[in-house]
Amino acid sequence: MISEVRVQALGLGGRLWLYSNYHCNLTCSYCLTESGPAVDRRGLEPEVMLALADEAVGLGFTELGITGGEPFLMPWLPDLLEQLARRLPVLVLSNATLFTSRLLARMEKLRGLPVTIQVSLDSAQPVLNDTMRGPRNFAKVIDAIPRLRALGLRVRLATTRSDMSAAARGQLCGLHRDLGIGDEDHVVRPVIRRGRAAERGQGIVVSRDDLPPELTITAEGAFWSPFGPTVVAGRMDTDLLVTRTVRPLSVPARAMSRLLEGAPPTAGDVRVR
Amino acid sequence: MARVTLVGAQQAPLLARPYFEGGDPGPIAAALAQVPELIQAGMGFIGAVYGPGSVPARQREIVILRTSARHGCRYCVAVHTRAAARAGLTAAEIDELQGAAPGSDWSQPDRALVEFSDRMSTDPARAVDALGSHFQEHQVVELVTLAAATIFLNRFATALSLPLP
Repeated sequence: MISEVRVQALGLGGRLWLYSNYHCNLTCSYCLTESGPAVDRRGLEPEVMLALADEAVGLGFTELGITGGEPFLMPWLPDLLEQLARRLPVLVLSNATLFTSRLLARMEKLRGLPVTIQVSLDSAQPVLNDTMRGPRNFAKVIDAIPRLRALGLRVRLATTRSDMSAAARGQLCGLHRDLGIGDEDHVVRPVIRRGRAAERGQGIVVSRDDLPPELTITAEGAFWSPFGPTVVAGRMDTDLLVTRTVRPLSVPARAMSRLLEGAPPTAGDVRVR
Repeated sequence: MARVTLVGAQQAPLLARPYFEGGDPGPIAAALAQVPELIQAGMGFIGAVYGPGSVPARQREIVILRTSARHGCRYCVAVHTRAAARAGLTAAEIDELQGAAPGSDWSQPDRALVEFSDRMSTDPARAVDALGSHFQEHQVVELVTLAAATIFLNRFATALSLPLP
């Protein structure tokens, strides 16, 4: 019985990831998904995401993660987030460069709901950060964080660096503390050698055994982890593909569970949080 | 050239990886790997149907080769021309199975299998009648499954233009 399938019993992590889209207003140097303004959107329709969220509740998932691409390029995202967050807490990954006054006004409806915005910032040095993430990125992010917090939203900071010195990290931590973001809400993770980073020979190589099992749904199938549905030369990688079937959600969830039964213990040292 | 990407070992999805561990799994598995939830069931079924059974290998290859020839599947004919030879069919017999009708020196059970294969393609409701009393009931089921699976693979390989081995 599908209703008897529970995430905990299947041994899966509690968060279900949804790739809302693959296009982005930025073209970051290490992007796993080769995202940029002109790429294929590969979008999940909001109705599908809502249906998946409903199934996720039934299966015992405890949180939703929304990533891309840049999710806030989708005009319906604030409305969708409101509906998702009434089902489960939601973590949204964003580059935080699109938060105009108009968009922030539309996000007012999220006040009081369990929505966390995780914004990317790779250095406290604007020039270094902008080299990786694009012109004026640093200034836009620094401007956006207080405005998001003013909406009552929890803001987390994600830093993607493989070569960060203690001094540079200390400088960045000082910055996020000044912005009201505590150490518990700052994630530093290495560049993963997939997507654009792989083409440039950057980052560390990871395999399934390095990645915690976090079921991840895209328009092209269900993957082992949000690090799975990466793109190289315009083609989506399939080495971490679980199933093409994404609904009912119990199909990829069961397939993940079968894989886990035969899997070695997960080192779990690389997390998208 | 195949009509779809034949998945390679580097891009093999998690559920498909066991099929790549021994090297190139062949174009059927490499195509099915595009849909990993199909590969286990699909290859399991194909392996069971095409593996050893109660019908001798020679007779099984008669059905497979004749059916594949009738359906114009270049891939399956090429693969099973070799398999038929390994199962003991002569070069002349293999040629005849790809022609209009078998010669007079075929045994009655083998001629029945040729007729059965032809009817599976054109008149399946009367196909079992062609087997007469040469086969036990469970062998009839096995032969029908074999011919039906072969027709499936004929269509699969032809539609996807699987490369000849």
